[in-house]
Amino acid sequence: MKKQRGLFTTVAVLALITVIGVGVFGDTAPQVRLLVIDRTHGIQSSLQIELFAKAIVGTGRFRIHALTDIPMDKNTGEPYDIVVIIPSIVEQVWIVTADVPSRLPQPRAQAFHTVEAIADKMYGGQRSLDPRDVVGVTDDLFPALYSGFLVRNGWL
Amino acid sequence: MKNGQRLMWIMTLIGMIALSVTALAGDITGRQIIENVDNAPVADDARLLMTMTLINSQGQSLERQMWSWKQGTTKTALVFLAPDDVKGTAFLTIELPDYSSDMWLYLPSLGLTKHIDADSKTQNFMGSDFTYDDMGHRNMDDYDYEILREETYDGNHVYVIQATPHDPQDVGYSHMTSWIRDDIWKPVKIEYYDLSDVLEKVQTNSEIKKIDGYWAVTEMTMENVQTKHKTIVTMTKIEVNTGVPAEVFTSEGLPELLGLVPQQ
Repeated sequence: MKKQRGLFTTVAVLALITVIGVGVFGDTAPQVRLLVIDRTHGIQSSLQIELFAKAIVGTGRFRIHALTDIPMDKNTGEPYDIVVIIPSIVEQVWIVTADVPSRLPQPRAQAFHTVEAIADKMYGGQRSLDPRDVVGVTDDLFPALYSGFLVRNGWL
Repeated sequence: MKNGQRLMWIMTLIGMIALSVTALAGDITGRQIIENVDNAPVADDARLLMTMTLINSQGQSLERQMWSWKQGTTKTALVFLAPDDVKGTAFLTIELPDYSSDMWLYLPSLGLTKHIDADSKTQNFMGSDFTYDDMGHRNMDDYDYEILREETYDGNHVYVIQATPHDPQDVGYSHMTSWIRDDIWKPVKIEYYDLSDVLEKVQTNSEIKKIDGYWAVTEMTMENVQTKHKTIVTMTKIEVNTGVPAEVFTSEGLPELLGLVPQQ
């Protein structure tokens, strides 16, 4: 009887640990899907994008994919929450979302501001290799146009 | 003319001819010296552990460590080991027969391998004072060479050669002056002059060692005398002719380079 109670207690404790573990790791699992479109061709600008991506990955909240050009075909997979475009000539970083940030659902809006803050730090700071202005869908025509295009093709 | 005077005159003439023949035999042109440098034996392949120290004008320094693989003088692959913010970043350059370069970069955080523009060759290599061109192999035919003088440098006989590019804009320098040891055909010092003809950078090859029969520069410093920024590159480990696998020198192989670094 005593043995059975001990076994039951052990199983209960293990189950509790498992539940807590799933809860904890579930919270920290990357939630936001981010697509980086790197249209630059230089070494310095590419290294800057690597540092930018590393800082984003470091938050533990993003799952990143990358392309070297704007996709012209339709996306057959899951859409992304945020797309960051680094143009080759224009000295800007475009943060593109499906809607203006103020109308995005809360986790996505928060993620937008996180990406914006990191881009600002990485591209505007003194250590930046490739200084650029950070603009979002509400600041400039290009991100807004790309937003419509990427939404239509299922990327956002 | 008396017989004695005639004899003296003939002997002087013979002496002068003999002297000029000797001088001709010892003549070497600037171009030939550069050809000797270019033709110096190199290993089929090499693996190098390199440390690059960047020192700014305030004396603050930043150290980067990388592992590099070379095949002859035309293919180089390297991967950064430290610091953490560049760890895993890999770079491949393949020199083509026309001396242009095919360059690829792998960015680990993005999992992205990308082609790099050829005009990046005149950019500084990873924040250092070396451009990609400074570290690479130049086309001899793109320059005119002139021997400025011969002298002794650090106890060795050297030729001081000026190389003037046909297209300075393309190279990024108006001219370069090199001190070249004629016993091993290695430059020990190179001065780079900017497009306004003002001294911009000085490269000093402070340590040259014979590794398994091949002379190699094992420590070099590039100092930008205009910005007072300096880069020291030290080869802490060199292994030659180990049989580097061909896939190391492919763009597809770049993501795997970090895993190929031998255990220290």
